[in-house]
Amino acid sequence: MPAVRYGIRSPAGASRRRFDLFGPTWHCCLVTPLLLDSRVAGWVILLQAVAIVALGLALRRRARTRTSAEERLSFERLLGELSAELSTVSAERVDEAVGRWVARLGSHFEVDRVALVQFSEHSDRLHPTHTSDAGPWPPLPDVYEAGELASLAGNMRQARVVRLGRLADLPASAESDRTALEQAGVQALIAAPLTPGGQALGFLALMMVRRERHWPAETLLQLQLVAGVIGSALLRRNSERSLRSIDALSGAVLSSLSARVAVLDGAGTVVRANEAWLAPERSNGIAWAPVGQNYLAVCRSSAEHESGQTELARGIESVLAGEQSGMRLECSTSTPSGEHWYEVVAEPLRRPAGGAVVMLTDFTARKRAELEAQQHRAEAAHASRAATLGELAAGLAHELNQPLAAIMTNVQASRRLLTSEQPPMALVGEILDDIASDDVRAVEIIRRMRALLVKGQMDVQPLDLNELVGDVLRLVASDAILRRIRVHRRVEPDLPGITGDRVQLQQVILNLVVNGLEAMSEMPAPRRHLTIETDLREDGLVAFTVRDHGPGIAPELLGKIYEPFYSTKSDGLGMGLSICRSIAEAHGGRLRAANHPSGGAVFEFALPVATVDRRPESRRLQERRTYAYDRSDGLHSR
Amino acid sequence: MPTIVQTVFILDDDVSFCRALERLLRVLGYRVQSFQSAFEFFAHWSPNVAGCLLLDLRMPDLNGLEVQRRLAGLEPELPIILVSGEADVPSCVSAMRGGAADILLKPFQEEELVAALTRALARDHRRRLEQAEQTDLRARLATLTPRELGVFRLVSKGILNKQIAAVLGTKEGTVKMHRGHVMRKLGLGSVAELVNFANRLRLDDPCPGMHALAGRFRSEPATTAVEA
Repeated sequence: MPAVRYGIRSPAGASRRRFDLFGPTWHCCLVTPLLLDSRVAGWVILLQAVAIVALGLALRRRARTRTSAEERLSFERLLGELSAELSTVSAERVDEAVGRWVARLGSHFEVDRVALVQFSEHSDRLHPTHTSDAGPWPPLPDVYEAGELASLAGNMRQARVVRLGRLADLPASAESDRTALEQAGVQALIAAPLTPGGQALGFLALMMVRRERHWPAETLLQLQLVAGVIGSALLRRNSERSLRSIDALSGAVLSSLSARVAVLDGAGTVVRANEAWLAPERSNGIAWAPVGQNYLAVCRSSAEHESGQTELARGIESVLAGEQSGMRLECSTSTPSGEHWYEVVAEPLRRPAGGAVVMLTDFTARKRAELEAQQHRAEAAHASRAATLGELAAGLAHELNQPLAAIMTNVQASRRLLTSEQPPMALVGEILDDIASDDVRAVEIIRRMRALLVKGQMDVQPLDLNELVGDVLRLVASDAILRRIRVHRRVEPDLPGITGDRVQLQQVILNLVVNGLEAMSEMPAPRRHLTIETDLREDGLVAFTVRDHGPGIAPELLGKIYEPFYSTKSDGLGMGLSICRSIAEAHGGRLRAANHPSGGAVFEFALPVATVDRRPESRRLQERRTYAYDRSDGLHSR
Repeated sequence: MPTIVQTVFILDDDVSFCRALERLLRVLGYRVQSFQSAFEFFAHWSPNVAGCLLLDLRMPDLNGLEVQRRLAGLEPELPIILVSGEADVPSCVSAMRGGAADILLKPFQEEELVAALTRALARDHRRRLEQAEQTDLRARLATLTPRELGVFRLVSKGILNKQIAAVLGTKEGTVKMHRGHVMRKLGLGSVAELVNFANRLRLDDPCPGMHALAGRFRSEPATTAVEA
């Protein structure tokens, strides 16, 4: 600090120069009287007397100068020692050292009391933390409330020094200060703020209790220098303390987490981890690395036998590279103790060196419960569907029996008639008519039944096909993971809206997707891809396509798959595609099945574009009201 | 005995099936009469007409089983062939318990139908013959005086004249006289014929012989049965 160096040396240098000025004076006093006569001697003696007086003055001044130089020297030493100690002492011993130094400052400055007062961190209170009294004076309180010493504290906060030779000099506005100082018996005071790095921590004050005192500028300067050193030490203590508390806090948070958390540096090396992470026996198949090892490398090597972890490595890599502002994915691992599910969250560390925090949460128990519940739901749904269909089928069977029995009986009768010698052809014709009408009746029964299955309650509303597809894919996502099937979704983002019954359309989509998933159960895992697309066709229909990589549909079965009660699945009801097609037709759309030239089956479900607009309900209602009004006026008709 | 003309009645709510079945049965040479509702059937049918009934189990106005229950109370009983769309086990069981002659499942083959009809019509024929015989026997029995009827009952159980006299409180000679009247009125030649006659009558006497010996009052229920 150049300013400090100047402050110490310049007074010493100045005094040396003043010494040189006295050289000619010595010469004049000792040599000149010997050279002159008595007339002149009177003048000389007068001159000598003057010189002696001057010499005496000079000597006194010199003595004073020497004392001042010694004082300065001792302060320099004190400051040197203070800086040396406070800059090397460990943070937790700063307070102790400061206490010692406060006492030493009291004797150095020859004052009655030295006080180090610190500002409270969270309030406007003042805490005299270190005091050193030269006698049994009334002590300072432990704390000054916000209103007390207001003027002094205000000056200190604004980094202004205060020099007060006597209390009477206090302005009228500083009444609270006067009261507080009087209570502490203070008669004179000089204070320098502790503002290291611009942060007001408190102030260092020298006080006189026994008498008033004039404070020379020199003292003020020295006090400021000391306050500067102590302030830095306190700042260092504070920042180390807060660092340590942040560290303790984050450590406590980390170890309280049951999830496994690790901090990676920019290259992916584990730099810190919590206890859960550092327990490899609990890793359950997910990639794990101790502190100091590269986690990405571990992920990549374990990805060779666990395909789910490729995605994990790729995700963390992209977070580390700053391509992603965070990642969250679910992955499963298979271990001898069964399948384990992890949720992986990676958050980038926003610092120049980069890095990321990786958190692995084992939610196997929840997932198992979820899957179980899902399976139960599916079973219950299947059972209730089967029961409903069973009832319908029984009804269907009975109803169909009537025309079939009639046809059979008519055929038997006509066979008898035709064997007679002269067959009554008119009667046979009548019988054939009856057979035909019974056949029509049977067809009608089947049609009515199917319509009943589909049209039961159709709730038509404006819909977005992509949204429906998204809903269904969310439903089957874990099913697909369990079956180790990759689902590729290619949706056309700007699809026009459609109208229909949400539940029925979802049922069709779900049916097609699940069929696709089930079709690939016999395929080797790498071939299990399901591609789902939505697009707008040239014929103006919005289409949803599912392509699987299963065995495809045998050509002779292509026409048969829509027939009710036809199923290739052992547990199938054979109603799926039949109902799907009925739903498609009820919505004015179509359902088609084909085999892809390069293998697998392709199902296409297409629906017409909505003719009504998709503005908010309120707007449409408003418009409808206008229509009604217009119509009643007889002006318009729709 | 002259051959009775038998009619096959059809009761089925399905017009088309009714017509087809009627047609087939006509071609097969049966006399047929068909009805679409139970109401219609009961309005036209009379117990005197011989034949059988092809009855649909499921009908809107009156269930097949209810029709069967109503017919069961009438004499002579009309044999019923139940026709059902499905093998509904509980219905079939209660139909058989109710005395159905047969059950046919729709759609059925001509041979099954003919076999069932043949059995049912034969049963009806047998029943009607039995009924005619009973009518004849009872008419002949009705010519006896109460005292002669008592002697007839005791003789038919193989009890000797002397014992009969003791039971009835008369002399053996009087019993012999009544016995001669019985044999003449009923046109019987021997005791064996008399026993046969009594057996054919199917009179329900729960405990023959002993009860008759114990006291003449015990034979009173048998007398009432004959009068009914």
